[in-house]
Amino acid sequence: MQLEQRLWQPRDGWRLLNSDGALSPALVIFFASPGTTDDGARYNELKAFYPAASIIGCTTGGEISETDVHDGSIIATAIAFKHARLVFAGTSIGGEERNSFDAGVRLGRGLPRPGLRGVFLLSDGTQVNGSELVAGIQHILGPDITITGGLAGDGSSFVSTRVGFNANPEPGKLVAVGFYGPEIRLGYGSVGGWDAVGPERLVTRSAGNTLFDLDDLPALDLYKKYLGPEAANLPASALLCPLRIHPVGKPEASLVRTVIGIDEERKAMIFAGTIPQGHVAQIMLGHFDHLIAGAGQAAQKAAFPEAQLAILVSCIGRKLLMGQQIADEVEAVHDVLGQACRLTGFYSYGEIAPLENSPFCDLHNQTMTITTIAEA
Amino acid sequence: MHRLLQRQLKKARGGKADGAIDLDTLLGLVDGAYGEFERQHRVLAHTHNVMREEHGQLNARLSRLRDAISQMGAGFSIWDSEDRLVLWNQRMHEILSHVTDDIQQGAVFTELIRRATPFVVSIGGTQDSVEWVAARVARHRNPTGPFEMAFTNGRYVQVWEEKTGEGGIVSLYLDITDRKRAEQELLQTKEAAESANQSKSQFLANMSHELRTPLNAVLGFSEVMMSEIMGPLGDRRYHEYAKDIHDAGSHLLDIISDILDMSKIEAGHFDLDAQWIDVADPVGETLRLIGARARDGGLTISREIEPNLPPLYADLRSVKQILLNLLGNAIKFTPAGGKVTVGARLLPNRGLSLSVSDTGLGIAAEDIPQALKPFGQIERALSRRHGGVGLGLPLSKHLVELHDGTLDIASEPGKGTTVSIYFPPGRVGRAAAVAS
Repeated sequence: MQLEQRLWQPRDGWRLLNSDGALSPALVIFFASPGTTDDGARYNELKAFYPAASIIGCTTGGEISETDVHDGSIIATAIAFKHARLVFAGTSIGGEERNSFDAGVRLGRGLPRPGLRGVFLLSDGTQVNGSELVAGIQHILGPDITITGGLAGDGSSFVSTRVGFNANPEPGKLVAVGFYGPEIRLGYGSVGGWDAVGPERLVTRSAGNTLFDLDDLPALDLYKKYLGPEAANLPASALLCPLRIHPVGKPEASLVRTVIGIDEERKAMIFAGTIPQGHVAQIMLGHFDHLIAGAGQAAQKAAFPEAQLAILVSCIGRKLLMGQQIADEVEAVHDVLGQACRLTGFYSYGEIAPLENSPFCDLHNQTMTITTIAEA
Repeated sequence: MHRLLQRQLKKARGGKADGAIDLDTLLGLVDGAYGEFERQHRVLAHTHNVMREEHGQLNARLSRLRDAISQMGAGFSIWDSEDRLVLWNQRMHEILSHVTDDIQQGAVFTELIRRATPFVVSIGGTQDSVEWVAARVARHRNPTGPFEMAFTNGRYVQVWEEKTGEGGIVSLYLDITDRKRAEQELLQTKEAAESANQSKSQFLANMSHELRTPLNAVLGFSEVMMSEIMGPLGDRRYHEYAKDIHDAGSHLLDIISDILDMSKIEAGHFDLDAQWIDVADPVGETLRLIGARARDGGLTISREIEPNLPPLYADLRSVKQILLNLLGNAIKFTPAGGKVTVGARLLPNRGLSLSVSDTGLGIAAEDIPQALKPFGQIERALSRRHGGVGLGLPLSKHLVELHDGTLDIASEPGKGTTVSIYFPPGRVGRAAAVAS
C-alpha cells in the first residue's frame, strides 16, 4: 500500500505533504472545509492529479492532516493498493427518499459479500438518521463486517453537508467503500472520554431522533439550563453537553448522542441518532484531559504495528469545546500510532464504528473514532 | 513555549518550519485563544452553579424518599446485584429484630437467612434447613410473587420481592399476624358451624329412622283394624277412628320421609340413582296418586306435555317426589273451582323444563326466598290451616339442584303460582322416546 497526501489552503493552494513515490492510486479520500468545493475547481484539480482513482470525500467541521487541525482547508489522501480490491456503492437521500434504513440497505446491496473485509462510509450529516443508516447496511451485510466512517460536517452551522463520489460533493449523498481480499488489514477504535454528570433522567417522551421530555419536563428547557450563557448559540452549543443514553439497568450498553437541531416550538431536541423512549439519559460534560485521553485510548484500540494510514473521524462537539486545543487530541493519537502511520481525518456530525463489546455497529457521537488500514 | 503557542506560530508560518511569521494570523489565533479561554471559563462557572443546584435538588429528592420509606407501615429493603443490603427502614428492623441483629449496610442476604433459620416455623414444607435456605435464596433471586413466613415468636410476615432495574432486589415485609389470627378464628368458627350442622343432620336422620319403626306398627295395625281381618270392630266409630289413625300416621310418615331426605341432602349423603326416563311416566304416576285429592278439593287438573320429548337422565324417585311436592302444594293452596296444570317442554337450549301452575293463593315476591328455606312456610296461619311443615319446596329445590338444574318460582298473590324446574341440556337425550 502506497500513500500520498496533499493539503489545499486558500493562501497556498495545493501542497504535497508526503508521498511514497510515483503511484497510481485506486482511491482518493478528501475532507474539505464547507465552501471550499462549491465551485468544483478543487475536485477537478484532484481528478487531474489522480485521473484513474475513485474519489470520495465530504465536507467537515475541521480537517485533520498530520498533527494539525485546520479550518478552511482540504486534505486529500491518495491510496494505491498492491492486492486489495475496492467496491464502491453510492446512494442519495432527501426528497422522496427520506428513509435512512432503506439508504443503508441500498448501500449494503451494492457491496458483494464474498471477500469483503470492511466498509468505510461517508454520509450526509443533516438529513440522515445515522443509527438507522448503519442498521440498514448491517441488515444486508450481517454483524461480522466492520463498518466505520462518519457523517459529513458543515462547520458549526448544521445547515447543509455534502458528500462526493466521483463527483463534486453535493447534499444528500452517501458513499460506502468496501475493502476486499485477504491482504487488507483494518483496525478500529472509538472512545469518547466525556463525563456523565448530574442525575440520571428517564426519556419519558421521544420519537425517532427527536427527544421531547426527560422526566416529563421539556428537554430543551433542561439543555438551556445547563448551557446558561451558551444557550444563545443553540443548537451548536448543545454539542458542549452530549447526552448519554442506555436501556434501564444496562449502563454497559451506553451510547452518546449529539444534538443536531432544536425545535423551539415543541421544546424538543433533535439528535444525530435515535433516542429510544424509556431509556435512561444523563447529560455529559467534557473535561479536556479526559477527552484527550479518550482519543489516545481510541488509537490504542485501533493500533497494530503495520498500520500505514489512520482515518480519524472526531466529533465536531469536541472541537467546539476545546477550540484551538483540539489539536492535542490528534497529537495524542499520533503519539500512540507513531511516525510510520499517516493521519487524515475530519470533524464530523456523527461517527460510525462497532459498539463496545458487541459486533453490531452503531452511530456514535462525540467520540474520536479511528480506522486504521494496512496491506500485507 | 506552550504547545498551543508553538502551534499558533506554525500556522502563522504557513505550516512551513522556516516560513515568515504572518503577524495578523498569529494575533488572530492568539486573540481567538483568549476568547476561547474566557468562554470556557464562563461555561465552567455556569456548570458549577448548575451542578450545585442539581445536587441540592437531588438531596431534597433523596431525603423525601428516605422519609417516605421510613414512614412506611411495611418493612422495606433494597439489595444490590450481589445480594448485599443497601437500604432498609426501621420497620424492617422491628419485624426481624428477634431473628437477627445483623441488619446493617452490606449484610449478605444468604447469611442473614441462614441465621434466621432457627426462628422460622414454616420452612416451606421441608424440615431440612439447608434445603430451606437454598430454596429461600433461589426465590429471593427469582421472585415468583408474595409468600408468607411464620416465626417462632408467633408472628406472621408476608414477603414481597421484586427485581430492580439494576439486577438487585427490593423487598417488602408486611406483618400480617393480626390478619392471620382473624383468619384462623374465622376458620375455626366455620368448622364449628359445619360440624354443628352435620350433627343436626345426623340427629335428624337417626330420629327419623327411630320414628319410622313405631309408625310402621301404627300404620300396619290401623290397616288391619280398618279391614276388620280379625272380625268386626263393632261400633262404626271404631272404624272411623282406625281410619283417622291411619291417615294421621301416613301424613306423619310423609313428613318424616321429607325430613330424612332433607337431612341426607344437607349431610351430602343423598345418592341419585339416575337413568334415562320418559318424563311423561312420573307425571302420569303422580297425577294418578294425587288425582283423588284434587277432585275432592273441587279442582281441575290438566296436563300439557309436549309430544315426543327426548328422555331425561334423572333419578325417577326424585322426579316423582318433586312433582308430588309441587302438585301437593298447588292442590293445597288452590281454592275449590281452581285449576292446576302440569307441563313439560323442551327448551330452545335443549334443556328440559317441568312446571306446575295453579290459580291459587300465590306468594308475594319478597316471600319467595323464605318459602324456599326449610321449615319456611310463610305464615304460621297458613301452616295451621293447610298443614305441613314447609319442607316440600326446599326439598324439591335441593333435589333439582342435585340434578344440576334450577327451580324457579313465578307468582302473584291472589292469581296463582307457577313453579318451574329446569334440567340442563347435558341431562337431556337425543332420541325422542325411551323404552319404558
